[in-house]
Amino acid sequence: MARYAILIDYDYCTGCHTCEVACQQEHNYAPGTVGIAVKEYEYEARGRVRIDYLPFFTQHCDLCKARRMRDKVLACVRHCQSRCMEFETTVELTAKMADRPNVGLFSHHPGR
Amino acid sequence: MKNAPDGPSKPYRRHERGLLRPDKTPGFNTPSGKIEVYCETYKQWGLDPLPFYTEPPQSEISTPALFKKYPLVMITGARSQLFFQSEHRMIPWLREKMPDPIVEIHPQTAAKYGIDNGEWVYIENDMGRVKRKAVITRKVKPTHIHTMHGWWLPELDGKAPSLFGLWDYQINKIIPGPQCSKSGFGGSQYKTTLSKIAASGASHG
Repeated sequence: MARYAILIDYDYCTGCHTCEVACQQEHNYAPGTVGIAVKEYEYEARGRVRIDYLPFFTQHCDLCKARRMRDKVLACVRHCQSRCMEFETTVELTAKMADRPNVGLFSHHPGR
Repeated sequence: MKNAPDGPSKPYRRHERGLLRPDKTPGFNTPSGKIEVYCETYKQWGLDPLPFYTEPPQSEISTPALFKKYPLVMITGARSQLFFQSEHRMIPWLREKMPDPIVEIHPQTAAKYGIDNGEWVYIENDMGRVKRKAVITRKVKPTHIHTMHGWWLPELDGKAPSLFGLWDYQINKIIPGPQCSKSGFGGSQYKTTLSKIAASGASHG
């Protein structure tokens, strides 16, 4: 059976937090509760300051079950301002990872 | 669901499609149709047709005495994607992601003035002082500090004279007024105001 996952190309994540707000609005979560959280990491590499942003999925993420029943894509993926997130099967996503230097492939199982 | 590659309004490459000129030919809306570094229109208006550099009204070079007193260049031009200008501070889902008006300070600068990460500080100059929470980061140069404009705190009293903390948090209070160039372009010195930072001694804003 096809297994779904989320690919995040974090070379393109700008840390705008839109995914978090889209998730909160979709589920009507109280402030402080998010299904996806963006973390910032500032460091030096090869003499330059770098800032990486990486979103990850919390235990509040239900993979937008209600939206997918209506044949809609996950709220975070839909609203990502830099379109750096994709929700597809692992087979499709691993193929897409090949020529991208900095991606995360997230396998998330709600409720486990 | 899928948008066209350049989005629903097709904002890009309009010059290639002849959408910028009254005569509908490809190119930009200039006499030559090209991007003009030497601008004939500026010349007609009696302005320098070439780009040129002007020293900011306040700087180490134009106001050395003021620079000695206020050695940090304050930038206020950046934006948070959470807010639009002074809007949206009252929306909990947005505000929780940036709850406080912050000032970004380079680690060397913070060490020099004895400022700790998360400490409440004043940004000061001859026009007054504004409260900010210090964030120590290498995003800014040691010679500069960065803070955002448009701050007010919806949770404070809205009645005058409090006005939601406007006089404590509104950065425009310490930025000199309109200084347009001869062309009419430009505004206040949003990115070049000289200032200093000092610990406020307060445990919160």
